[in-house]
Amino acid sequence: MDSPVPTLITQADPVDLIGGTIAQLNRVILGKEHQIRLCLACLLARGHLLIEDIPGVGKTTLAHALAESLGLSYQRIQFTSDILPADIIGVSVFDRETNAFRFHKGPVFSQLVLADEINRATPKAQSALLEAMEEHQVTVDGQTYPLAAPFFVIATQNPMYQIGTYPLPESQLDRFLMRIALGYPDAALERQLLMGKDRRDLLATLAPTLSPQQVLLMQTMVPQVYVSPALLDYVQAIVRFTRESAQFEVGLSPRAAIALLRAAQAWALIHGHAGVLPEDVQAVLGAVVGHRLRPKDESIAKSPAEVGQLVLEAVSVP
Amino acid sequence: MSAVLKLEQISPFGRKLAWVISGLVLAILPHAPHLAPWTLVLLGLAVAARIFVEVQARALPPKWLRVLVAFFALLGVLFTYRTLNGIEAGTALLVVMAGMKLLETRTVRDLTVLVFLGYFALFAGFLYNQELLRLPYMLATAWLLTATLMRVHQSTLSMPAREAAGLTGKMVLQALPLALLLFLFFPRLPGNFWAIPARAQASTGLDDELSPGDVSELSISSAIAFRVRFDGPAPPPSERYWRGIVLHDFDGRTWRRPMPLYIPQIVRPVGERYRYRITLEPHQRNWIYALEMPTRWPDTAVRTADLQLVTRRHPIATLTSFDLESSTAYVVEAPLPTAMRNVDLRLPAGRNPRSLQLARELRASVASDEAFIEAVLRMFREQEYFYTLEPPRLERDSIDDFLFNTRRGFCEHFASAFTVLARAAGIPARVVTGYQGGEFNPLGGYLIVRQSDAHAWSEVWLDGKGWVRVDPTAAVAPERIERGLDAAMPGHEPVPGRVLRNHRVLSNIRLAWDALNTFWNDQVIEFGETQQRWLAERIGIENLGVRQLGLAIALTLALFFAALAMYLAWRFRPLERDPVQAVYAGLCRKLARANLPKRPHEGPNDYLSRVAAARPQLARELQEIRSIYTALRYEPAPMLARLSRLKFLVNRLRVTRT
Repeated sequence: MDSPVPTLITQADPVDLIGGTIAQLNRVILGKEHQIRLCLACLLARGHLLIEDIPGVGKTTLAHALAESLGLSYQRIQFTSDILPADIIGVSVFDRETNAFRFHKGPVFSQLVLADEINRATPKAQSALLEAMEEHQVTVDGQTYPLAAPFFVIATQNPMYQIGTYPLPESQLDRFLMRIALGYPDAALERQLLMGKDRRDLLATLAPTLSPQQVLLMQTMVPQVYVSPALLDYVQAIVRFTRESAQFEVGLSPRAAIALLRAAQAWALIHGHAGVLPEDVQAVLGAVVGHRLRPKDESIAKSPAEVGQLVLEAVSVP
Repeated sequence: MSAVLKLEQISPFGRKLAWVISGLVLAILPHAPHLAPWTLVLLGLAVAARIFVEVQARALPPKWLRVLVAFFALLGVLFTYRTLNGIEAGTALLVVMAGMKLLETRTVRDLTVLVFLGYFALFAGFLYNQELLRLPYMLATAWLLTATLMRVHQSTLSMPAREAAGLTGKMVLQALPLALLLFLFFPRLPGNFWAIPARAQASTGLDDELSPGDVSELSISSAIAFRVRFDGPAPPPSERYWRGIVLHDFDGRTWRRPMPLYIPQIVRPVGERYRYRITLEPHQRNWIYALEMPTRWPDTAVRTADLQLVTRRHPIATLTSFDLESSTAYVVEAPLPTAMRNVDLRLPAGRNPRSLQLARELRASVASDEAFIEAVLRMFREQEYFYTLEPPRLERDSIDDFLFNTRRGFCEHFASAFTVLARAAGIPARVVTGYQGGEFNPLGGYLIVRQSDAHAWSEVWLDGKGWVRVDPTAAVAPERIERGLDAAMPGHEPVPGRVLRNHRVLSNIRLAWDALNTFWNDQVIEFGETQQRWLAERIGIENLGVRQLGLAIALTLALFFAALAMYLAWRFRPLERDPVQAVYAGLCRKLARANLPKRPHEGPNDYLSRVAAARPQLARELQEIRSIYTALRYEPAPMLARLSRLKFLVNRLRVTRT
């Protein structure tokens, strides 16, 4: 690759760079390597991540460990039904000394923001965050403030106990590149978890394996991962299937197709593929399309993973 | 404004439902006149209820209620029609159950069922009415239903109405050749195999009884009774007597037809012979109108002792054609059987005394029966008798009242009076109703006979000659016979269609439309086995049997679909295979033969890893193949030189079955 990329990248293989991070995260979150890789691919593809799972499976731990490992500034916003947009983006306060308003930046001005239980907040508060995610900037009182770079939002959602919640509408779900679930660890790993150190103590021991600059540079590499015509055929076949199949209410939008391709490129990058392979697409498929497709018959496929599997098995690799 | 907003807020399903409902209603609409009113009310309520449920986002009525209503609707049909069978009960059941289905419609599948019900109801409409005028409506509704079906199966991003309509149009055009082929060559069984069972429907046209005023009432209608196409020249207007019902029993006011007798009569035709094809509009009776004396008729008809043609089995409930031959004059040489003579001399006791006396006096004053007839006709001609469409009402002794008081009448008055006078004079006589005249359509080359041409005349028995037609109307108003009702009636009388006939352009339009209708009737509705045989002979196939026809059509259809399949295969042919892909496909085939087929959705990495796991001895080769293939296919700037290496590796690969 002769493109003018900084030495930092050419010197080190992305696989090695990210490999250390993955290994470190694996020590904290046991048995969830695929999800960890998806999470990193999502970050590198400049997307945002939605984790939908029951409490206590390590969502917060994952976010925190990620922030520590990548040396990112980290803020957690606990969404409640009375949270206000100002609680998220910040507030202008009148300063007597300068006789002017001064903007106090909110928690959204961090590199990694964990939006915990996003569906408990009102749509107004939700949209304040989602707009920031989309625009990568915040405008208050006519003044525009850029957000940190890299900027990565991990939102969590509890799929149960929907009473008093405001589930994100489809158009907002679309803002998240991926939606994943963590799930229970298997018995052996759970035993290891029970015997091991407290996770919070473990978090404190984590040292950064990557710098934010490296993350930013790897983000610029993602769109440059080669995509062959054959792979585009495959991606288009997937998209066409979702549109023509009678199993879904609505097919994938062009934006979703782009998202799928970016995620696959990120996946290819962290796995050291010179070009995107069909398997890269398949690896991210469930996480990318799961929340964007709604089966007409809910009994066919319920979870995002099942929806992904359904699409995956229906489209043959050209 | 708020209504517009509401429309926008209707869910995609609601919009589909609206389409389905409108298609269904349009399909059922033509049935409305035949249906019991309560079925329509029930359907209307169901539609209203379903729309209310949709707009208000309420729940559908509970299942027990729906079942209950459906059950009572079924009972209702059973009670109204006394059966669940037959066209009318069947249609009513269809309509009622469509309404019930609407009340449980909540999925796309239900909508589809409703659309199919709509198709069914629409085509059931052909059982009632096959007029050309109906065709555009049917086509438009079928179009709407098809477009609806298409929209129903679209996702929430519903297809715009125009696109759906356009696509449907395209589909109709594509289906047209196939439909034409099936229409022309689908085997039709001879006979009444598919005959539509008779329905209890009001008959139109002449009845089997005749009271004063019946024919003049019918004459107001310009509806068509039948059309006739002659082989060769048509008879002159004065010879165009289309004999229908023969009436014998008279009660002083009304003529009736007794049970017809089927005694064969030996008739010697003496007049000119005419061959023609008569196409009767449905009149729900079983008699066939024919020019004067039919001498040859098809097997489906039979000639009664009254020399009248009737169908053997079914009343004429659909447009029906008969090929006939007639003679305008005939002689019956055998003597009249006494039973028949008595019937045709009988007069009601104590009725019309003045007329009977007049007849007796008149008969005494002349020498023969012929002279008597001439005397009566002269009386009508020379005395103050008037021919009118609006005759005054007659008293109980209708003949007396007509002959001596009102003196104004239409053909049935004159025919009736003449027949009574003849019977009173001892001459067997009867009243014949039918049609007289007809309008020639130069555009189609056939004769149109309308209800306004309805006529009544008499027949008297003269020994040695047999039955002789006597038309007293001809004596009073000769123009009626020569030139039709228009000419015979003074300007102020409301003759139907007079304005139309007197206006040249309108008249031509009317004739052109009728010619078009006749074409439709003859070439489309009546298209059957005979026409198929004729068509087959035209393209050089003799002795076309049902079996050959079936075989031919199966073959043609197979060819058609083969051609279609080939076209589609060409249309959606895989893009030009690149060599890399071809080698990989070869590898996949090779592995499939060794019981290791590629799953369609399997990528090359996964697949070849799986194969390598199954055949560890080949792992190294497979690993190299995998890396070359993925590099060539999915990686930037592929080194095409490596393609030959890939080919070599694949060719060399030996995979055992187990």
